[in-house]
Amino acid sequence: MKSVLIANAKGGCGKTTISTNLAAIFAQSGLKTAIADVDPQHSSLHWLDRRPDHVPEIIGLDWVNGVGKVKKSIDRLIIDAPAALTPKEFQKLLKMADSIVMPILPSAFDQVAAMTFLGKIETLKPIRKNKKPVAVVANRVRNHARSARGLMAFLDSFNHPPVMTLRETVMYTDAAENGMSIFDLNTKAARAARSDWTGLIGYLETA
Amino acid sequence: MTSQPSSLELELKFKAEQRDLQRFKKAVNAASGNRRVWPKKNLVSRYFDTQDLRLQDLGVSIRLRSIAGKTVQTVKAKRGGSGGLMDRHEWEFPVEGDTLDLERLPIEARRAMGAIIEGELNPVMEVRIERQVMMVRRANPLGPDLVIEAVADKGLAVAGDKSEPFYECELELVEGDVNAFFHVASEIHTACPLAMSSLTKAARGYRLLAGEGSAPKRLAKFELRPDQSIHQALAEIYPACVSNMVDNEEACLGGMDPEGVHQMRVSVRRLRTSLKVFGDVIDPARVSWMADELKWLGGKLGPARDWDVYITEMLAQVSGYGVNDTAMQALLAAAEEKRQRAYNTVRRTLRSARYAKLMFRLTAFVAVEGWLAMPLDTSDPLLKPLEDTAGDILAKPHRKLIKQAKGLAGQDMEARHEVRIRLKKLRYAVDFLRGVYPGPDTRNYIKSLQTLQDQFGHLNDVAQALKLTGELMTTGRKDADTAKLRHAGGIVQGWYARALHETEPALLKDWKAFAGVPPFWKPRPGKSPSGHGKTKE
Repeated sequence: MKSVLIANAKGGCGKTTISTNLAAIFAQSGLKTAIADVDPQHSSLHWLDRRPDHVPEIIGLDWVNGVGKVKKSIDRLIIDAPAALTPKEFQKLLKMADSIVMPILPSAFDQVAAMTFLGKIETLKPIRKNKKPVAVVANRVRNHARSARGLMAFLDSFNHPPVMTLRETVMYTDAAENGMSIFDLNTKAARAARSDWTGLIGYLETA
Repeated sequence: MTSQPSSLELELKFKAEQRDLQRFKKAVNAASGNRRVWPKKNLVSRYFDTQDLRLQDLGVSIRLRSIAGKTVQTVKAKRGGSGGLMDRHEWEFPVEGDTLDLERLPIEARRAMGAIIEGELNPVMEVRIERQVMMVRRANPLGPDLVIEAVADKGLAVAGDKSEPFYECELELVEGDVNAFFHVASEIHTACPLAMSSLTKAARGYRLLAGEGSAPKRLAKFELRPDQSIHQALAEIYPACVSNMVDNEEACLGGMDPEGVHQMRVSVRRLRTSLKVFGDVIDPARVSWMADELKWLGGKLGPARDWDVYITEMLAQVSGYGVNDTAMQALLAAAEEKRQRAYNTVRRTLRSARYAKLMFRLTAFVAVEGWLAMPLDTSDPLLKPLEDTAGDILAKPHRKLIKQAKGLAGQDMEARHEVRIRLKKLRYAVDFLRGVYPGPDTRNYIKSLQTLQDQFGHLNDVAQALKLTGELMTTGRKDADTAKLRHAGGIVQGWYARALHETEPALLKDWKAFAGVPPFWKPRPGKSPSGHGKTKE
């Protein structure tokens, strides 16, 4: 089993979007996939409740009250972490993960929060020693927007350049309303947006 | 090399040049009494991967092979776990048209491939083959008849705008007994001694795609377990060593990468030391050819490694300390020439029929587990668990070392060299068998042994500096050259002799420390710790 921890100190940066779409990619690839929802808001589990029968199955695990057991048959586990985590709680989740994905938005507020967060987790041994790689994902990026250029310059300036940049599109929210991801949609626009994910998949699968 | 996905399937693959195909076919015809023309068919295989060649990274290949208008999809994946013979999973089924069918793949195949985004897999290279096949049959009154498929391939690998022609021969056991298979294969190989190959067609294409030669490969680490027998241990170690030798051939032939020769020597040494470590329990009649031939090969590879170390480490250490620069340059140039020659020897050796024969024999030896006496004898110590046998195997070299090192402080160079060799032998045995006794005692013992070996390593440095520098000092063509070589050579020799003098107190101290560390192995149950067999010699 490979497991990915999706985490950032700040809410609303797209953790659940990344979690659910990543899970859909794994499930579409024929891999037995589970999302462990650690967020008390249960956004990922609610998404799973809405998920229709005709798309590949994803298993939901409720970890709000603590880390639970994972069945041996699971090939990929995605841990959707809440924003407010104590260092101890974070370490517990980190122990379960093979790699970390950190979504970040173009705004200046997000950049400061991300910087602080990265600074904190980089003191943890598995991350410091590069045992558990951190994938930074630039989310909701509008091409040519000034904020996007600023974000890129900012991201390039620290240790973890982004492994993927996700374009901003309503498809993510539209699909999510129906318990789906852009990987469950059969439209031309969805197929085009999927190519954004190759960088992250390549990074996680060979980590 | 051989591959055994199922219990029956066994395939030997050989490297060839264009002219070898004819020779190979003749040898097969002679072995089978065949007089017919070998039928030809054309195969085109397209290999798919992601843009970042993730499948290659994961050790997976997926291809569509077209032959006579039909298309078959094949996924091959490296099997996890211990590195053995080319141990691969394979999933194959016919598909319609020209596109991959991932839906029908079983979960094991999908697991090996990992996550794939729809549309992410595209053709990255193509291998075209003109294949000639002949079946060899031998009647067997005692069991199923022997059926061997002989294949002679003329191929072209194409990746983007690059292409590379290649030739390959194969012998595959279709039906029958493994020993009978090797008997016939050996007849064919004697008439046409080709080198073994481990390069898959997919790997060939990927190499072309990357525009690189074959990179040196490290031998996989192995750790024996107490419940394993020596037989089981050899069944793990030998295939890994033999494949590793074949895997490093290209790097050795390719040019001057010191790592290729180094890695091949590591495997050769492991095979040779296994014969020494387990020498008392393996029937010498089964392995004496192996000891002889590996010694020959080791002797051919050795000088290349020696000159590599001499140039990159020994000379590098001395130069720059006020040594006359032109004299040093002359010495370096003379050493470079020696190194070139040593590498030529390596290349000649690896292309020789004797080497091809050795590798064929080793491959067969591994496949039929030739170290075991047949029929099996249950009292054979090779079949006993290591926890019963390892203690004796370790105690002997330890005892011999202690004996040789008596009065170490007063020993001359020669006697100390003998101690160094005993140390090395003990180290080999310890490295083989440490996994049988996991724990802090083992780690402490090895640490102390390592420290001591480093000290004695200086002895070897001196011996090498004297020997190799001595060889260089006589290579001058003119008197002036000789004078320069002698000047620089004398300094190099002096440098290492001096280092030896400086380490003397540490050497004696480290010996004392080692002698005080208790052995980590335990005597066999029911046997007194000291009262077993006398040493030979």
